[in-house]
Amino acid sequence: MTSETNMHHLLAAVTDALIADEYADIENIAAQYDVPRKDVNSLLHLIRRLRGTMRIAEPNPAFARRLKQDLLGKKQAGILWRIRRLPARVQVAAGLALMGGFMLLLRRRVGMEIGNRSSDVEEMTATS
Amino acid sequence: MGLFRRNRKTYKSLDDNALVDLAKTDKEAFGELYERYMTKIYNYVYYRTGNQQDAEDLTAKVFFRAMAHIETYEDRGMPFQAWLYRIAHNLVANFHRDQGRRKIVPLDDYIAHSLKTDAPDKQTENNEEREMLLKAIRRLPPERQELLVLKFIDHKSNAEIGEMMQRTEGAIKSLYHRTLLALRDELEMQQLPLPSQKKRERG
Repeated sequence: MTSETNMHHLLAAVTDALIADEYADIENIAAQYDVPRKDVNSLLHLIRRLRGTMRIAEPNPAFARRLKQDLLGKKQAGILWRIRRLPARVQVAAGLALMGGFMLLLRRRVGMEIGNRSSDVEEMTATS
Repeated sequence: MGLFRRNRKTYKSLDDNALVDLAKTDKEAFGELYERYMTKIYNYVYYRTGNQQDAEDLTAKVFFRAMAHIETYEDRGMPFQAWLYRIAHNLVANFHRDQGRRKIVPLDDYIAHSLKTDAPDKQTENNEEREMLLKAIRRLPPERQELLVLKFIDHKSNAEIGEMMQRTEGAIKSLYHRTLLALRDELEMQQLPLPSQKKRERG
């Protein structure tokens, strides 16, 4: 076996051992392979760091539940959930359209109120 | 119909192949597959994208796509799990292409959560170290990131990873070695002071 292949086997064995047990005796495992220690030490340290850093992230339980309901069609998905799954540009366009519609309604309402007031004033001036 | 309906306990006892066959006509069977693989797929996507929002969106897409195409799935040497990861891999690749950049976002919530028990000083130090490592991982080519996630998060063997990445076990071991070397170099580069800092230090 070449030293390169030895190194591959060593790294695989050490990683498997560390994944199975965080406190595994990796020095002992490394000693079983014919690889110079100076080439291995920094990599063993790195594997330990990876083992400590890369841990399972639990998904949000509400997300997991909603997605399952959505997939199985058990429950009508909430409007916010549906909107969230739309592409960003569609979300922005929908937001702008909603705001535009709201402003249009507001403008019409204000216009009508001003119209009503001016007709009231006209009536009052006519009666006086 | 209700009489012939399987309960959840029955689904649990079935292997993936049997569930996939059922899932072609039975949504509840797909639900069991979802329960088995949702967390794994979520983690795969989470570590490849770096944030919860994108991970949730892409995880949802993976399962919707899987459900839409499960009728056409056949186990031709690629187990269901590998097929699911392939869908996730393609969607993550599309995501990064659409973004036009590789997002480098620290996994803040995760890090803060996992370090709650450490002393404050040690916590800050560990936090920085972990963040640096995660950033370095995300700068690696996609296939190397994928290898690390499958190994350290999903605890897959080299043979299983080889099956998923369509390579031999020996090729995976070799890729792992190269990945560690690249990661070590990347971390060393991060720790070196920038040329401007060096000048300041000398001055």
